[in-house]
Amino acid sequence: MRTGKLLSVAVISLGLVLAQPPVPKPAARKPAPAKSYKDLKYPPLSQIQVPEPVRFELANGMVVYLVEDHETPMISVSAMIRAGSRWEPAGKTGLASITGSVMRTGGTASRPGDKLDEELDRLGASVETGIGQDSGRAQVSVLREDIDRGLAILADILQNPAFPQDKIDLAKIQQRDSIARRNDNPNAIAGREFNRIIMGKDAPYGRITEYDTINSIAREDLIAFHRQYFQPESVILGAWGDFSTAEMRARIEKTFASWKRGGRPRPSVPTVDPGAKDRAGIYFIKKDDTPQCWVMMGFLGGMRNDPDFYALSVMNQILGGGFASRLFSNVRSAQGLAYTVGSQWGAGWDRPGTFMALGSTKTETTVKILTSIRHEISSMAEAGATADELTRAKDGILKGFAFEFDSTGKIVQRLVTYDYYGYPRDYLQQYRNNIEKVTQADVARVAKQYLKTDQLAILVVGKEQGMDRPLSELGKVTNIDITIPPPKQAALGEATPESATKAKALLRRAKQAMGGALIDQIKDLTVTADMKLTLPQGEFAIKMEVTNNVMGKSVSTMQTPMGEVTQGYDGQIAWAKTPQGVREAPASQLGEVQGTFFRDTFSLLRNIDNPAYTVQALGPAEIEGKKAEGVAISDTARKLQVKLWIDSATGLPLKKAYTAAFMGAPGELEEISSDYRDVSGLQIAHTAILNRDGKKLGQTTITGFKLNPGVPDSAYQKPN
Amino acid sequence: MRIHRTPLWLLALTAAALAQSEFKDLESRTSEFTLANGQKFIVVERHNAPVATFMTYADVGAAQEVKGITGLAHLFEHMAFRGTTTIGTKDWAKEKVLLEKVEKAYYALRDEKRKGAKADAGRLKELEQAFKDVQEEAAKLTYKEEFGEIIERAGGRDLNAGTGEDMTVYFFSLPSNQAELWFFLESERFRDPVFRDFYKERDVVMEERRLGESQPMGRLMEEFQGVAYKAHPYGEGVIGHMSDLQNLTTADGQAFFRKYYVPSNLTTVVVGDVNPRRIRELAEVYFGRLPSVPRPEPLRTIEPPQQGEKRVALRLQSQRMLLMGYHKPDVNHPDDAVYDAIGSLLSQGRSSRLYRSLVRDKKVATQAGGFPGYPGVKYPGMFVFLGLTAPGRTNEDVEKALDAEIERLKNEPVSAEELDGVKRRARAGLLRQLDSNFSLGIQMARYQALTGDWRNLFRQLDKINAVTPQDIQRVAKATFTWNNKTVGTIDPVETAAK
Repeated sequence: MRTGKLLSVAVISLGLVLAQPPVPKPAARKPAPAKSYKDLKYPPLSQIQVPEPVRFELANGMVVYLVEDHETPMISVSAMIRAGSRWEPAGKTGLASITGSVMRTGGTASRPGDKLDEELDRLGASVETGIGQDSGRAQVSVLREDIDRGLAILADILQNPAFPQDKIDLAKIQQRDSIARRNDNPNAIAGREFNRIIMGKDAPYGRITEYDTINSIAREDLIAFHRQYFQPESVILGAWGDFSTAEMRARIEKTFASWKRGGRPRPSVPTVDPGAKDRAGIYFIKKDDTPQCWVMMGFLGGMRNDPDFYALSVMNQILGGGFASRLFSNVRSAQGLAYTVGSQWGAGWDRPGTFMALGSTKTETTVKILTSIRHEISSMAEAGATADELTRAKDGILKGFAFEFDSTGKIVQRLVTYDYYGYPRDYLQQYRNNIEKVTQADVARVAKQYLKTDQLAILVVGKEQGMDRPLSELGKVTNIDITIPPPKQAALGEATPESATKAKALLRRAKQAMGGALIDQIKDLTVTADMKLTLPQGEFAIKMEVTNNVMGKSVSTMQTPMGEVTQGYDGQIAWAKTPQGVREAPASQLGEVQGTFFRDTFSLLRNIDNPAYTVQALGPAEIEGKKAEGVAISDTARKLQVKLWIDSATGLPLKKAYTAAFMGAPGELEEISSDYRDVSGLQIAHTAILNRDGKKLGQTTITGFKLNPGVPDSAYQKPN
Repeated sequence: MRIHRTPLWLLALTAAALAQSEFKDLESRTSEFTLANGQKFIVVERHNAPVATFMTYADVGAAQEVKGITGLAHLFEHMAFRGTTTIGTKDWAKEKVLLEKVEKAYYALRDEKRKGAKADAGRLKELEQAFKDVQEEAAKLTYKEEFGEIIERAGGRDLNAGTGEDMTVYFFSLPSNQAELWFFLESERFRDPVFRDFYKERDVVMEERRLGESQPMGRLMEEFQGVAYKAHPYGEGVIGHMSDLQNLTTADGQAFFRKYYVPSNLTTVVVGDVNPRRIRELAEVYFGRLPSVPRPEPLRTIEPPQQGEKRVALRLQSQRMLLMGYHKPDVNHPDDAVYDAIGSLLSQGRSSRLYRSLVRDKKVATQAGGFPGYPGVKYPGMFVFLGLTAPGRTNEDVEKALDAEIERLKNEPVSAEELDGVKRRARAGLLRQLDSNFSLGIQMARYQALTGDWRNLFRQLDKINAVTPQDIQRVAKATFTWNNKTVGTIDPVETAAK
């Protein structure tokens, strides 16, 4: 065998290498090293052999590109599908992404996702789907011998995804995790928020997932999204690898033949927010745990089919496109201000992109880098590029053109992309020709026309303290709040009899766990506790004593920094006594007081069968790492509602959630209970954490507890 | 320009016979030679397109640093882009004089600063100004980024370099007719480097460090390494300590360069549309100029066995995550392939054990994996587990779930079917890396430099193919022990760690 022989020669020559240089023999005249790279003379470049992909359309409208590549025994498939998050409803941001992920993880009726995982991993193969902003993708990579299985799996998941609920839930956990982590890295914040500044934070190209948008997505939404966008005429598929084109064509035709045309119209491309043209300003996002500030500046960019695109690409290459660019050499190399610095002329295929220049630097040189980057943009706008810079940038693109053909995958996927966005098949050649035509005057013209420093949106992410100069010296600063909005209380569906039965069983279990029949014997009880509150004004430690009775009467005394405050409710009148005197609560506040009594856990457990209450099960959840089941209890007449999560292991309540006013401010409140201890036969949570709108507000620790102390009625009445 | 080392490639093969035929063709297109000065060359012919990737793998990394000069291997990598006496200068004769003045000004300033409280404030200001002025004067004579510019003009691509614990690698690609340009530039920069703009580049590297400090995972990894090692340089991150960076000098850089950038410490790989004979000719002409110098002394320190569990718990403005590691042997240990197999079993694909258990079923993490070879493989590194803790779950939940999977590795023999999947994935994974000049080049360079033979890239598949369920149990039992465990965690700063 030829290969074996050559190998043995190589091995032998290795052994001889020190004794005498083996093949190849040095040239007769010993060549000398060049003195300068300028003296080097090169032979002509070999002809670029471009494999010509075969394009055909199936009867059902699916477009296919094929190219053979026999270098390794692998076959790859990459398809673009006309589906993207830009077509999902704004209130369900995240739907496209979840659909794309669950198509694969959930599998199909005949190929459940978990089975698929195993099958593919055992083959060393992969089939993946995903939906991005502008397009959907499906990819297959298999060893040659597994191509039939790979294609069959692809065809099945594109047509018949099962969307099982457990995989939807899993995808939602991933989505919520991404939301929770999205402010952990300053560069991620800068990139995301800069795009939102330009594109509009709620517009199709700017909006982001939120807990509420994820929570609002149901299985039916995935089914509908898939049904709307996945049809053969929306798919452009490219395949390359170790196959014969004729055989591969037959395989694809056979595998996808049964997929019927959907006939749904091609979705129109959502337009960019009209305001995107006018975002000039200075924006600041506070991130106070980073030693660096990120600075991004730019404005709405253009499109790839714009005649100016070529001159703008060359201009950007000179401004911030590589090692030799102005931003790199002047901001990084000459000033040592940044590791990351550069610019890009963002041109979209079917809608405008974003022009952006960026750099990250230590807090102390934030304004310095900002002005340096802005200076490079404005001097490009004023004077354009030198002839030498123009040559360099054009040579870089044109002489390196061979790299556009160094991988078959690159060649095929490029054609699929052109086809998807309606660009001509020879777009690359057109691009090349147009780059060749760019003149120094063109660069000067587009720089002047597009790079308007007074139109820059400038975003800084970092510490407020310690900058070389306050940002406000540069102009009016708009602060952007990136606090992650907590989820709103999910609207409950209609309570079904099954869910009511389940909820009652859960509440009975909780009642049993907390004290059983003893709970019905409670007449009144007094709790003393230490409360720590974290308020915008500071931290407060409050000692309190609260007595409730079974009739819904209540009195509490608090030692606050402002003095002693007593609040009471005798069933009709709510009152408060402060060092300033006694005050009766207006009738409008009585609802809040009634809510307090309604939400009391023992009260809830005494009223499981109260006909005025509706109960329903909310399903499993995880509370503080524990498995739990949720229950909602509503008193529709009084418009009161509370949700309770009960520990699946112990039956004890772990969390309560409700809407209420706390210290005058309404919000979504949560009480998280822990440290249950037996007191007089009742299980009492000795620690409760109070959260408002997802942020910790305080913590209560129980210091004393009296069951049936027999507090007289007079104690609940307004003092004279 | 620091790339993070990915864990050693997980490579395997179902049938050794298949490996022979699949990779023989590639081997037949590969040739090698060593210059008289000891520099090793590997040439792989791939004629798909008229381009080639060139790569210099220097067998030196952060592991060669000692206390006080951490970050130097990486800073040198940056300096290798600053040019030579003929590249990057407008007038070398004049610039040389100024660079000497920069050095004098730097040391004068440094000496005054070292007086601490006794330093003369006025003098300090004067010296700072003098240092700044002379640097600016010298900078006027530098041709900024000429090195990168030459490559851009030639239509080059992917110019970059990376420093790891084990190696420093330099690369770019060119249209293949301009191969000689690479030989010229690369031999010049390792023959005749000039440390111009050294103190500016030091600032750039400090910014690179700050970039890492801004990332919770970057901070966790640095702390984790520091805790896991007490003797071996793997305990220090590649980027270096800020105080060391602030004090590195050109003299440190020169000494490091002279010691480690000797031809016998360099492996060069060329992959693409090239003629091996021509490559050899050019190598003799250009790299033959580099003097023959003995290889540097090997590293002496060996990390002693860990005596007990170690932990570091960070509280940051970040969601929870966990890093857990166990010391393991180096890449040349007979069990190396067993660790690769364990890594694949645990983390490759959706049916991998950690995804299935932690992400899909227990839902304690949103990502989970286990990888051999952190922070390096040349010396005994670690098998590390990473978990991104799911919302509402604790790092403890993740750790418990990982512990359970580790116990399973020790106690249950892996099924023949599951192990077969590992082998098939390894083979497919290797095949997927062969169709890119860059990935092929870096792999060959690594195997050559780390194991002494690039063919071990393919032999690793045979080794994985030979792994038995008993091997996995044996290695898991020996490695994943209580006293060999290091755990690093991040909890959000608002809440207490659980």
